[in-house]
Amino acid sequence: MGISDLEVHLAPKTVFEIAKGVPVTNTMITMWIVMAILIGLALVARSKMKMVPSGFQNLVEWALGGLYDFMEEVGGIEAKKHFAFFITFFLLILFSNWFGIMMGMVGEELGFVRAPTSDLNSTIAFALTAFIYFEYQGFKAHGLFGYFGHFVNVKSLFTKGPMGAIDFFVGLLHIVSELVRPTALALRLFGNIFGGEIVLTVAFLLFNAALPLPFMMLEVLIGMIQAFVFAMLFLTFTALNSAHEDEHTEPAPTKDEIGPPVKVLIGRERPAEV
Amino acid sequence: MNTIAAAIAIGMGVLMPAFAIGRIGASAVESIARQPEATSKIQMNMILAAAFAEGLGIFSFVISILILNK
Repeated sequence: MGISDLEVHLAPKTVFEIAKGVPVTNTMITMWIVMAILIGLALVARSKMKMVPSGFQNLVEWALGGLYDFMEEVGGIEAKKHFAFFITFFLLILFSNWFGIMMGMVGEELGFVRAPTSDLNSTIAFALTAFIYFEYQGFKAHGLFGYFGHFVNVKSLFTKGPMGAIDFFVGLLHIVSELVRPTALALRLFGNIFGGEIVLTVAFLLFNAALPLPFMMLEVLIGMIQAFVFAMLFLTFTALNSAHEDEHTEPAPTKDEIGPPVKVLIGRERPAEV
Repeated sequence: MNTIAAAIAIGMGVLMPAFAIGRIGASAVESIARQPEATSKIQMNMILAAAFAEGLGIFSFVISILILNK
């Protein structure tokens, strides 16, 4: 098969149908394999737990512990409540992305396997799950009318006069930005992984001895970064929605936290008299 | 015709995100050089900002794929 025969399909290939109109696609099967791997790893990691970890348990504890501590940097101490969702998104997307590369199977014409995240259906499912979760957190933190009040800001329309109209309009804009979030989450993940697969296929078809290798390295990197970005954006949105307004004023960081002010003069910013 | 449209879509759509990612990376490196102890925080924010900029390019990529598949 040559490069001119390459056809790009957005939709995954149907492998078989359970019932009439209930297809099982190849991305669904890879998704199930990824899920089985993750569940298996979790069971292995917790089967022989010891107080002083060693071997595999040590690795898992190091990875999860690092991410758990990292959450505090992003969303504050409150954000640690959402660890379950955060880590699920991260691991699921990471393993999905890497699974597609690991099999070395890029185009559907070349093979059977395709990363679950290269299917728009699954990324939309991830994004909708995240969307529902962080909207739920918003309602939980502000109450039903309190949270709606952010978007349809009738209160300030009546209390603040003309300035309230601006607040009202900004609230309407918030609806748009809220709806863009899941769309952007789904499309970003899908586009990166799908684009990566196409790049790998083209590289493979052009010169399959050595050309795919650097692209593969790039894809491994992108797979990790995209999983990280998805999980982190999810956490940021959740932390934003569940933050109370009066808590926005954080205490200013002390001098020891920032370190002494450093004055560095680089290039053209150097004043003339120096 | 579709091919030309898709090529123009991806070509134009990737221009500005590329510029944006360049700017983000450059300023992140500059600020890391100023304050090496804040490296991890700067890096995290850099990746976030780069992901936002990259998402715009990805939109045009999806559009051009859709044009091609028509």
